[in-house]
Amino acid sequence: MARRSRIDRLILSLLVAGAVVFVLLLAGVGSGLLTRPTPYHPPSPASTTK
Amino acid sequence: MERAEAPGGATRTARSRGRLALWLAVGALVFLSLGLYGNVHDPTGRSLVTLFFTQTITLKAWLATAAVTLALFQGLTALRMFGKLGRGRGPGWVPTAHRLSGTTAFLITIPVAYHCLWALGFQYRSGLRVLLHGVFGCFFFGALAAKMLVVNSRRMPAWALPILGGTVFSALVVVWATSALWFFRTEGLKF
Repeated sequence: MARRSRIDRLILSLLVAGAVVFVLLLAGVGSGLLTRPTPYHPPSPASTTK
Repeated sequence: MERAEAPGGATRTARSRGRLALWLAVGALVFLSLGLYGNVHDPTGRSLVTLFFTQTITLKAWLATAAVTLALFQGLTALRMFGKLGRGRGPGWVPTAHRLSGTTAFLITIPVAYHCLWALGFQYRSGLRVLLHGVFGCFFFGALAAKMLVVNSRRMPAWALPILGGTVFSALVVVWATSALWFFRTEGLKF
Protein backbone atom coordinates (compact mmCIF):
# COMPACT_ATOMS: atom_id res chain seq x y z
CA MET A 1 0.00 0.00 0.00
CA ALA A 2 2.84 2.31 0.98
CA ARG A 3 4.69 1.36 -2.22
CA ARG A 4 1.69 2.23 -4.32
CA SER A 5 1.43 5.60 -2.61
CA ARG A 6 5.07 6.31 -3.39
CA ILE A 7 4.50 5.44 -7.04
CA ASP A 8 1.44 7.66 -7.15
CA ARG A 9 3.39 10.53 -5.62
CA LEU A 10 6.18 9.98 -8.14
CA ILE A 11 3.69 10.00 -11.01
CA LEU A 12 2.05 13.17 -9.75
CA SER A 13 5.45 14.82 -9.33
CA LEU A 14 6.42 13.87 -12.90
CA LEU A 15 3.16 15.27 -14.26
CA VAL A 16 3.55 18.55 -12.41
CA ALA A 17 7.23 18.81 -13.36
CA GLY A 18 6.37 18.13 -16.99
CA ALA A 19 3.72 20.82 -16.99
CA VAL A 20 6.11 23.32 -15.38
CA VAL A 21 8.90 22.51 -17.85
CA PHE A 22 6.44 22.88 -20.75
CA VAL A 23 5.37 26.33 -19.56
CA LEU A 24 8.96 27.40 -18.93
CA LEU A 25 10.02 26.24 -22.39
CA LEU A 26 7.17 28.16 -23.99
CA ALA A 27 8.25 31.19 -21.97
CA GLY A 28 11.70 30.85 -23.52
CA VAL A 29 13.48 29.50 -20.46
CA GLY A 30 16.00 26.85 -21.51
CA SER A 31 14.77 26.71 -25.08
CA GLY A 32 18.39 26.62 -26.27
CA LEU A 33 18.76 23.19 -24.71
CA LEU A 34 16.14 21.64 -26.95
CA THR A 35 16.52 23.63 -30.17
CA ARG A 36 19.26 24.28 -32.70
CA PRO A 37 19.71 27.39 -34.85
CA THR A 38 19.31 25.31 -38.01
CA PRO A 39 16.21 26.57 -39.85
CA TYR A 40 13.29 24.17 -39.79
CA HIS A 41 10.84 23.93 -42.66
CA PRO A 42 7.83 21.71 -42.04
CA PRO A 43 7.17 19.19 -44.80
CA SER A 44 4.44 19.95 -47.28
CA PRO A 45 2.94 17.94 -50.14
CA ALA A 46 4.87 20.13 -52.60
CA SER A 47 8.24 19.59 -50.91
CA THR A 48 8.15 16.61 -48.64
CA THR A 49 11.87 16.15 -48.06
CA LYS A 50 12.85 18.16 -45.01
CA MET B 1 -29.77 27.29 6.13
CA GLU B 2 -30.54 26.07 2.64
CA ARG B 3 -27.67 23.60 2.81
CA ALA B 4 -28.97 22.17 6.08
CA GLU B 5 -32.42 21.68 4.62
CA ALA B 6 -31.27 20.09 1.41
CA PRO B 7 -30.76 16.30 1.35
CA GLY B 8 -27.05 15.43 1.78
CA GLY B 9 -26.90 13.52 -1.49
CA ALA B 10 -28.25 16.42 -3.49
CA THR B 11 -25.75 18.81 -1.93
CA ARG B 12 -22.86 16.47 -2.73
CA THR B 13 -24.10 16.07 -6.30
CA ALA B 14 -24.33 19.81 -6.77
CA ARG B 15 -20.83 20.26 -5.34
CA SER B 16 -19.32 17.56 -7.54
CA ARG B 17 -20.99 19.01 -10.61
CA GLY B 18 -19.72 22.45 -9.71
CA ARG B 19 -16.19 21.09 -9.29
CA LEU B 20 -16.46 19.25 -12.60
CA ALA B 21 -17.54 22.48 -14.30
CA LEU B 22 -14.55 24.23 -12.73
CA TRP B 23 -12.09 21.59 -13.99
CA LEU B 24 -13.63 21.75 -17.46
CA ALA B 25 -13.22 25.52 -17.37
CA VAL B 26 -9.55 25.09 -16.44
CA GLY B 27 -9.15 22.70 -19.38
CA ALA B 28 -10.81 25.21 -21.70
CA LEU B 29 -8.46 27.89 -20.39
CA VAL B 30 -5.42 25.70 -21.16
CA PHE B 31 -6.80 24.99 -24.65
CA LEU B 32 -7.37 28.68 -25.38
CA SER B 33 -4.07 29.77 -23.81
CA LEU B 34 -2.03 27.44 -26.01
CA GLY B 35 -3.96 28.51 -29.11
CA LEU B 36 -3.49 32.18 -28.31
CA TYR B 37 0.19 31.63 -27.54
CA GLY B 38 0.70 29.87 -30.87
CA ASN B 39 -1.07 32.74 -32.60
CA VAL B 40 0.71 35.70 -31.01
CA HIS B 41 4.16 34.15 -30.58
CA ASP B 42 6.62 34.89 -33.38
CA PRO B 43 7.73 31.49 -34.70
CA THR B 44 11.47 31.01 -34.30
CA GLY B 45 11.77 28.56 -37.19
CA ARG B 46 14.50 26.69 -35.32
CA SER B 47 15.05 22.95 -35.44
CA LEU B 48 14.67 20.61 -32.52
CA VAL B 49 17.62 18.57 -31.29
CA THR B 50 17.33 15.28 -33.17
CA LEU B 51 18.97 12.88 -30.67
CA PHE B 52 19.67 9.75 -32.74
CA PHE B 53 17.18 10.65 -35.49
CA THR B 54 18.28 12.19 -38.77
CA GLN B 55 15.81 15.10 -38.85
CA THR B 56 13.56 17.11 -36.55
CA ILE B 57 10.46 15.85 -38.33
CA THR B 58 11.38 12.18 -37.89
CA LEU B 59 12.05 12.71 -34.19
CA LYS B 60 8.66 14.38 -33.79
CA ALA B 61 6.84 11.76 -35.86
CA TRP B 62 8.28 8.86 -33.86
CA LEU B 63 7.75 10.53 -30.49
CA ALA B 64 4.13 11.20 -31.46
CA THR B 65 3.77 7.56 -32.54
CA ALA B 66 5.19 6.40 -29.21
CA ALA B 67 2.72 8.65 -27.40
CA VAL B 68 -0.23 7.24 -29.37
CA THR B 69 0.95 3.69 -28.71
CA LEU B 70 1.11 4.42 -24.99
CA ALA B 71 -2.32 6.07 -25.18
CA LEU B 72 -3.68 2.93 -26.82
CA PHE B 73 -2.25 0.91 -23.94
CA GLN B 74 -3.89 3.41 -21.60
CA GLY B 75 -7.24 2.87 -23.25
CA LEU B 76 -6.95 -0.91 -22.92
CA THR B 77 -5.88 -0.74 -19.27
CA ALA B 78 -8.70 1.71 -18.55
CA LEU B 79 -11.22 -0.72 -20.07
CA ARG B 80 -9.70 -3.47 -17.91
CA MET B 81 -9.94 -1.34 -14.75
CA PHE B 82 -13.56 -0.48 -15.45
CA GLY B 83 -14.37 -4.16 -15.96
CA LYS B 84 -15.16 -3.73 -19.67
CA LEU B 85 -12.35 -5.98 -20.88
CA GLY B 86 -11.97 -9.49 -19.54
CA ARG B 87 -13.25 -10.68 -16.19
CA GLY B 88 -13.15 -8.44 -13.15
CA ARG B 89 -10.97 -5.36 -12.85
CA GLY B 90 -7.67 -6.99 -13.70
CA PRO B 91 -4.51 -7.63 -11.68
CA GLY B 92 -3.16 -5.11 -9.19
CA TRP B 93 -0.44 -3.78 -11.50
CA VAL B 94 -2.93 -2.52 -14.10
CA PRO B 95 -3.77 0.83 -12.43
CA THR B 96 -0.08 1.62 -11.87
CA ALA B 97 0.78 0.65 -15.45
CA HIS B 98 -2.12 2.83 -16.62
CA ARG B 99 -0.82 5.86 -14.73
CA LEU B 100 2.82 5.31 -15.69
CA SER B 101 2.03 4.89 -19.38
CA GLY B 102 -0.13 8.02 -19.35
CA THR B 103 2.55 10.04 -17.61
CA THR B 104 5.18 8.82 -20.06
CA ALA B 105 2.92 9.67 -23.00
CA PHE B 106 2.43 13.19 -21.63
CA LEU B 107 6.18 13.69 -21.10
CA ILE B 108 6.88 12.45 -24.63
CA THR B 109 4.45 14.94 -26.15
CA ILE B 110 6.12 17.92 -24.46
CA PRO B 111 9.12 18.38 -26.82
CA VAL B 112 6.87 17.75 -29.83
CA ALA B 113 4.23 20.28 -28.80
CA TYR B 114 6.89 22.71 -27.66
CA HIS B 115 8.53 22.66 -31.09
CA CYS B 116 5.19 23.06 -32.85
CA LEU B 117 4.25 26.09 -30.76
CA TRP B 118 7.71 27.62 -30.37
CA ALA B 119 9.14 27.14 -33.85
CA LEU B 120 6.03 27.05 -36.05
CA GLY B 121 3.16 28.68 -34.17
CA PHE B 122 -0.53 28.25 -34.85
CA GLN B 123 -1.03 28.13 -38.61
CA TYR B 124 -4.57 28.52 -39.89
CA ARG B 125 -3.77 29.36 -43.50
CA SER B 126 -1.82 26.24 -44.40
CA GLY B 127 -4.67 23.90 -45.24
CA LEU B 128 -7.19 21.77 -43.38
CA ARG B 129 -4.68 19.20 -42.12
CA VAL B 130 -2.47 21.80 -40.46
CA LEU B 131 -5.50 23.64 -39.05
CA LEU B 132 -6.93 20.43 -37.54
CA HIS B 133 -3.50 19.55 -36.17
CA GLY B 134 -3.17 22.91 -34.46
CA VAL B 135 -6.68 22.99 -33.01
CA PHE B 136 -6.64 19.41 -31.75
CA GLY B 137 -3.07 19.79 -30.48
CA CYS B 138 -4.15 22.64 -28.20
CA PHE B 139 -7.41 20.84 -27.37
CA PHE B 140 -5.49 17.70 -26.36
CA PHE B 141 -3.60 19.54 -23.62
CA GLY B 142 -6.77 21.26 -22.40
CA ALA B 143 -8.66 17.96 -22.24
CA LEU B 144 -5.68 16.30 -20.56
CA ALA B 145 -5.51 19.03 -17.91
CA ALA B 146 -9.25 18.61 -17.20
CA LYS B 147 -8.90 14.83 -17.06
CA MET B 148 -5.99 14.97 -14.62
CA LEU B 149 -7.92 17.31 -12.35
CA VAL B 150 -11.02 15.10 -12.47
CA VAL B 151 -9.07 11.89 -11.82
CA ASN B 152 -7.54 13.46 -8.69
CA SER B 153 -10.90 14.70 -7.39
CA ARG B 154 -13.32 12.75 -5.25
CA ARG B 155 -17.00 12.20 -5.94
CA MET B 156 -16.95 13.13 -9.61
CA PRO B 157 -19.88 11.94 -11.72
CA ALA B 158 -19.20 8.35 -12.84
CA TRP B 159 -19.44 9.26 -16.52
CA ALA B 160 -16.92 12.11 -16.35
CA LEU B 161 -13.70 10.12 -16.33
CA PRO B 162 -14.48 7.70 -19.20
CA ILE B 163 -15.73 10.56 -21.36
CA LEU B 164 -12.72 12.75 -20.63
CA GLY B 165 -10.32 9.84 -21.10
CA GLY B 166 -11.93 8.99 -24.43
CA THR B 167 -11.80 12.64 -25.45
CA VAL B 168 -8.08 12.92 -24.63
CA PHE B 169 -7.35 9.71 -26.54
CA SER B 170 -9.41 10.79 -29.56
CA ALA B 171 -7.74 14.20 -29.65
CA LEU B 172 -4.29 12.61 -29.56
CA VAL B 173 -5.21 10.24 -32.39
CA VAL B 174 -6.35 13.20 -34.53
CA VAL B 175 -3.12 15.08 -33.73
CA TRP B 176 -1.07 12.02 -34.65
CA ALA B 177 -3.07 11.26 -37.81
CA THR B 178 -2.66 14.83 -39.08
CA SER B 179 1.10 14.83 -38.50
CA ALA B 180 3.04 11.60 -37.99
CA LEU B 181 0.69 9.34 -39.93
CA TRP B 182 0.53 11.89 -42.75
CA PHE B 183 4.33 12.13 -42.77
CA PHE B 184 4.84 8.36 -42.84
CA ARG B 185 2.30 7.97 -45.63
CA THR B 186 3.95 10.76 -47.62
CA GLU B 187 7.61 10.04 -46.95
CA GLY B 188 7.66 6.42 -45.86
CA LEU B 189 9.06 5.11 -42.57
CA LYS B 190 12.13 7.21 -41.93
CA PHE B 191 14.29 7.56 -38.88
